[in-house]
Amino acid sequence: MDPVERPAIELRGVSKSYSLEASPWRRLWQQLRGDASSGPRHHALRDVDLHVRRGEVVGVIGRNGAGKSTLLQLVCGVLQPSTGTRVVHGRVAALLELGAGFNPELSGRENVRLNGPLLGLTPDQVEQRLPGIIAFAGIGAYIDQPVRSYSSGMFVRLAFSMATSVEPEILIIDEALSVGDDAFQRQSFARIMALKDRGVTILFCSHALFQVESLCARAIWLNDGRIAFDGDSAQAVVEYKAWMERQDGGGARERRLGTTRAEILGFELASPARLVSGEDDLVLQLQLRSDLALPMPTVGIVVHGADARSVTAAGSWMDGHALQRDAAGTTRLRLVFPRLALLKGHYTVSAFVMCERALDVLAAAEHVLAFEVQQDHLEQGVVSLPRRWEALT
Amino acid sequence: MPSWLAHVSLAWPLAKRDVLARYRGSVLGVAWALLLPLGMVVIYALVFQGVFKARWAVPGEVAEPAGAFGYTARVFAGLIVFQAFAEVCSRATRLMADNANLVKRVVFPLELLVVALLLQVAVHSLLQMGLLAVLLVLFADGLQLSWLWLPAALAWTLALQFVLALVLAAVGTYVRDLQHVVPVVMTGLMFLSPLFYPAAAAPEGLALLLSLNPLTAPMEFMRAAWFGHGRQAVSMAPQALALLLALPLALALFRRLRPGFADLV
Repeated sequence: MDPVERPAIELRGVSKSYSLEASPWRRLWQQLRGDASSGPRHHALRDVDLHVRRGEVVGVIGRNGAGKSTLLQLVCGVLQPSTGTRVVHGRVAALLELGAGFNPELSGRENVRLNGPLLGLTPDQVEQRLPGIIAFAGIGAYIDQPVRSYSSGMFVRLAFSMATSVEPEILIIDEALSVGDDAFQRQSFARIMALKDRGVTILFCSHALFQVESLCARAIWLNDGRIAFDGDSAQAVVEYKAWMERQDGGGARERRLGTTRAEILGFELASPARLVSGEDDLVLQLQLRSDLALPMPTVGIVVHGADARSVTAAGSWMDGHALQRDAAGTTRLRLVFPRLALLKGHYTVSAFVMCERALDVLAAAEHVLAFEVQQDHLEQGVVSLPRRWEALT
Repeated sequence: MPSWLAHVSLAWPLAKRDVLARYRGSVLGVAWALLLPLGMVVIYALVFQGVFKARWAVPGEVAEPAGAFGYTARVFAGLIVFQAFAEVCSRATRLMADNANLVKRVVFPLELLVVALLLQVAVHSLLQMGLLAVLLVLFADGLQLSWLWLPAALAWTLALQFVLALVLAAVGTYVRDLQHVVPVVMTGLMFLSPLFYPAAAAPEGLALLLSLNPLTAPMEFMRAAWFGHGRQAVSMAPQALALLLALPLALALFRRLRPGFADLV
């Protein structure tokens, strides 16, 4: 087969189950007989088919325990499928557990030298890349201190720097970016983007759904060990969110989140809470404070229907509106939806403050505003779209 | 060629990592690898020779060059081998658990963990053998032709360690009790191995036990190589054959049990 056409990752009918057998002797006996399927089992993955083309970037989403990590471990080859076949073409770099082979007593430099071969580098290649690895990790003179004296951030920076320096063809990322400080997250994301641009196949697992949406064109949603959705990442996120809301008993719940990097000081309706569809404007006012040391953040506003599904959204970065802030870091802004086209119903509004690239949420106020739309006509649905009827002759 | 053999060069960095890490931060560093067994051997010699009046007497042979040094050197020669076995066996039982990160998170031929353990222990054994050689040259008969057998004795030791470590690592991952049992068994074996006495001097009941103890052969072989009678090598042919048969069996057992490791550690 043509190497370009050859899929990077191909799983067919893959299942993975774990024995729940409590007695060590019986487990040993099961394994010895090769009859691993008897006795009580926990099924982590059931009948998963996954084809990933070369250069594709695929997000993996789902609740805790849905089988995401198991799937990634199977793709890397750390776990073997209980049934089904797995074919992977290309050198895999897995950011599953950063620094897995590091020894705390040895210095950072020694650890890089000794772990290089585990990642498939020859000693010469390690020496060649060592300066780059140290520079990217940004830990300076600490590189010659024992790793046990590192802060957890320094440890992860070094491990990430090393893991991504091997020029993989397939990169597997499991929540690796949720650690490290702000600057490092930015830096590591840039490196992943660079790998993506170079045509590396990426499997990206994260609970940060906006990261999945912005990094991946395609996403799979795993639910209870099965692929519940496979397709466009934005749609996958919508399906997953809607399902989660249904699980939570439906309806929107108020949630607020602030960080030292930004917080939402005020978010209010500047228009009446009861609007007439197609006539009244929906006006929202937002006041926020952001850390002056960071680049100017961006703001996203989401309008949700009664089932908490997003109906429409506006992002300052998408609309090309640059925020402004005063010397104290305070930003005040207003968003107007003129002659609101939404139809009859109850709606809630969420506001998000995000980093300048709209990848990280710095602060959020979800479902904190509610309004109702009334209409004096019988149009059905959630939105009234502009339209035109034409007679065909 | 099995994949783990192709990657065997990976085992050395692993072993090196553990050896380096072990003495890092201690004042005397790697000297501990020599001081500890030397201290042990002095204590054993004092107790067995000073208190129990033990002598290194092989029946049918002219009285060995007795004296404090002759006895001590022989105990040391045996202790180097025995200590290596004791360490390999007790660490093998928790080898997978100790390296859980590598087992669960890195694609890695796990046999190499066993090889790395052997290498690491072998580094210590070689240092101790070097020390013994220096002592023998300084205080005894000096270089011996029989020392040419030493590499063969070492190879035997390593092969047997490989078999034991594969089995203990594989089974010990499933049955954690081994972690507690093996160190006790090794302490007992210390007296049921020809460490403080030559195997030939053992009374009948003990001789049977000694012949069943797989450690007897490499210990006797090693001592024969040090103190100049290589003839024993011939009589050990059946045991060598058994060892060669055990190697593929141990590898097969390890391979059979390996798929369950990641679920258990």
